Amino acid sequence: MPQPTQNSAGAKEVSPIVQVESVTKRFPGVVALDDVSLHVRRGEFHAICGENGAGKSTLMKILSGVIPDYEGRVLVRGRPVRFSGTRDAEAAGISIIHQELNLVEQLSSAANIFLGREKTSLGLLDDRAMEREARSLFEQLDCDINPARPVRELRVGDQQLIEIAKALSLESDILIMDEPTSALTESEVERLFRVVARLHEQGVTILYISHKMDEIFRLSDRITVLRDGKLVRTLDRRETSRREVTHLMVGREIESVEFGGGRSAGDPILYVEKLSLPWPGHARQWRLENISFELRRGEVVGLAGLMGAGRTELLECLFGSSDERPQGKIVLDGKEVAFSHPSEAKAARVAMVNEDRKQFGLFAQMNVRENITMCTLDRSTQGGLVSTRRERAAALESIDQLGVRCSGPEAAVTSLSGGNQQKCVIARWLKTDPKVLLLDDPTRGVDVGAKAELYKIIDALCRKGLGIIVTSSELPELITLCDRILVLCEGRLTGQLTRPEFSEQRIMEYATMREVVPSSPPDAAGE
Amino acid sequence: MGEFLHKHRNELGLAAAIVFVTAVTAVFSDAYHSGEGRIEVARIIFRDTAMLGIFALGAAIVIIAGGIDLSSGSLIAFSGTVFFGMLILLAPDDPTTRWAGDPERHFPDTENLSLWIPAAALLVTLGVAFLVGSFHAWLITVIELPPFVATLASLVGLRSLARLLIQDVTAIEYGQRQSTITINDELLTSISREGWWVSCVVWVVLSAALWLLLSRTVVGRHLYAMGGNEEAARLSGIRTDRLKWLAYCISSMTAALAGILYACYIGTTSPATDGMGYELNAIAAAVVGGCSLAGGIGTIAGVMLGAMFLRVVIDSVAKLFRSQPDLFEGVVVGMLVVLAVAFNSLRGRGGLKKQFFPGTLGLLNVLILSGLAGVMTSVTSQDDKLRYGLLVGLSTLVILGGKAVAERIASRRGEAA
Repeated sequence: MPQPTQNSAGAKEVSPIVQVESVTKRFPGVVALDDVSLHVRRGEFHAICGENGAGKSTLMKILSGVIPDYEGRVLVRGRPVRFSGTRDAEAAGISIIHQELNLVEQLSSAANIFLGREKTSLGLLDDRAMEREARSLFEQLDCDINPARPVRELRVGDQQLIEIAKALSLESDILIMDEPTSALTESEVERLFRVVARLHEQGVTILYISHKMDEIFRLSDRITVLRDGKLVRTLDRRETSRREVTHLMVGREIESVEFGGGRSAGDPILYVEKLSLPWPGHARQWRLENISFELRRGEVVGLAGLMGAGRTELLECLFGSSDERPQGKIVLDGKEVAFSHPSEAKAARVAMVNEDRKQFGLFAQMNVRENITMCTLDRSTQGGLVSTRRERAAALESIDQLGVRCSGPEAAVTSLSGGNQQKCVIARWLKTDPKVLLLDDPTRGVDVGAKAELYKIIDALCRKGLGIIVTSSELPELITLCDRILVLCEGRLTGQLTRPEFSEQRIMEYATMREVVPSSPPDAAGE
Repeated sequence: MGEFLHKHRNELGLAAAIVFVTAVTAVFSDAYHSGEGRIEVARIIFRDTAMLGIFALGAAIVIIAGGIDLSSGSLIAFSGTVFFGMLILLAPDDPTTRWAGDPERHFPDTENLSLWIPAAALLVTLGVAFLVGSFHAWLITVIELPPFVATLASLVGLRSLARLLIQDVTAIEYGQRQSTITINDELLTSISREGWWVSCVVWVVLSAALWLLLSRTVVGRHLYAMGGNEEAARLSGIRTDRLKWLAYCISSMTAALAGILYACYIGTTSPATDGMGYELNAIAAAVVGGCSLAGGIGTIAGVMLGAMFLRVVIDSVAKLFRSQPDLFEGVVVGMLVVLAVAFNSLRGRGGLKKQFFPGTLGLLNVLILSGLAGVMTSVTSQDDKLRYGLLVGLSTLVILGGKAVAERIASRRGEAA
């Protein structure tokens, strides 16, 4: 780990590079930021943490010019500024890397870096010069990306580095990173941290937003905690602890519950034999190859693997939403099934909560009630017509059950924080009374407090006898939640671990294993 | 109460606008100044509104479901042809007439059709429309054409097909190729004389049924969901392909109903010109009525009021300038669509605080708008066309130019502050 000490020691005397003074931002019905004042020192690594909905992203959007109207004052390098767009902020040396990347997927990485300020010669685009410069930026970042490749062919981790390269080429000396690791694999996170550490050594001021304690405590000089739109405290990293920061974030102690204790699995509910998913037109031919496993009632099985290992694809096969039809055998509750549409899976009481909530889960133009009852609206009908009264009762029941924080069932679903939106999507599927619940990275973009609540919900459902398959990009989460973990690597099942065998290191070994190891064979189907 | 106002602000705004435009026309136009004239005008407006309203409902359902149907204008011509074609094919021969080329053959007797004939023709026409809608749905869900392309093909194809068909049908029944069919049946012509209420009844009943479907049934909720986020809808176990089938069939069948009514009102079907450009009027009514072209947003009440607003404005412009309504139709529809959509999007962001004429494009559009105002004045003036045109054009230029200059000063001040 690089030594940030010299930076922070020197930073004490210099005037703050960014001053936020009594900034308040109201959205309809919500105060997202309430009188927040914050000083960021030149060259420091300043972590900003808080639960989802705490106001972290809003604050960063103000600093980067995405939100132009707010109350209060922002000073950069001692001069008051009011950005009316990201361009203004970039001109003042501030670049932001958003949670959702802003890249044009069809264009090359070089074209993306120079988007809006393309290099030309004789009035024509000078791709060569841009690619040359992009290459040298990538070298500075110590990463190997072909600047001529279209962005859509790159992995998420590489795409993020393109955004960083763009910030570098703008000569930004203030870099804001909004939960940059939420979509990265462990090795990509490592590389990202090497890059960030290097920038930090070069004197770039970094504002790092996250709620992952590991990341916050790795490089930060100071840590600012936000809660419910208010600034709780700014702490020096060396004088605080993870426990304290977590405590400040949540406003209460999170008891580290040991889940899964005393759970006992029942009969097999789902049995998968030699499942393969073709991948037409690709050298690998199979997205998934020869996967066999079983899931029992009252059991949580985790799917681990790097990005592209096929976790999501495996769940899609079980839910009937994969692009190609899978081959092999899927037996649900004693009957062989082959779903060709999610509606068939729903009818057979298989439920799936998708990975990308915004794109595949939420109906943004609808309210909380409509989002929750989407799958089960026919139960709230009377003589063929929807009874709003019944529907509202059904929605309220779910809001209570899962503790969705909202102003009521008629609230716009977009006014909720990420964790609460996720609860709405989970509630939608729980209403279908599933036997098998498939959760694809359910805690992605969800804060610590809401995560713990989701864990409790999953544990309670499991104890009620549901068979649950869960994937996650965070291994500790799987280790906390699961009774068994299946590890995938490049579409093949490379390992199976039971609770006593769990360790991050073993999972990673299997996840990077190239040849298939004969996994403990699933017990006979008819057991 | 406040919530009700907020939720229905779009519909209430339209209703107010309709009352306002009608009042202005009533004050300034002679057509309203006699009691009989007033009733006659009201009947015509209601009839035209209902005709547009009927297929605007179909267009709106498709738009709410996240698609677009461009075929309704041609489908109006096509279904009129099918309907009248079926009538002459089913009608008994009239022994008092003879073909010019073959004295053994007679023309069909279309003066006193027994009731089953129009009923059968109606069913056949609606059946054909159902097939057209199903074809669209197949092209869109199975062949995976964009809705724009699939229905654009029908827009150009169906009219042409109707013109070909009418030639052959008339050749069979009259012994010579014709490009129109005229029906003299008592029942059908009575619709055109005093049956203004027929289309109104069809419109209201259809609206009520579709309102029930959209806002009170599971299918309706799913249509909104699909329009808002199709992938999420599919992953929620909603059969989006079936919903699209339904939406495109509703659209086709409402257009066919309108086509039948148009044919009856005119008494003659002429596929070369019937319903020309009406698909855009329908889409305009839906958009003015508050539907979002992105899908997932819109109400039946809004679409009804949107259709009524369009017809009222077209009628009042025609009355005030003593001209034929169809001459002004395009300009009015075009302007209203731009205004309605601009109003909706400005209401969401910044509103009137926004800078309207930034940069070179802004200056150029100051000129364009002034020119447009001048030309519009000139073509609507009775005499002294040049003088009035120049006067209005130049005053608009001064006003908008002033606005542009004021904006520039304000933004410079904003930067300095």
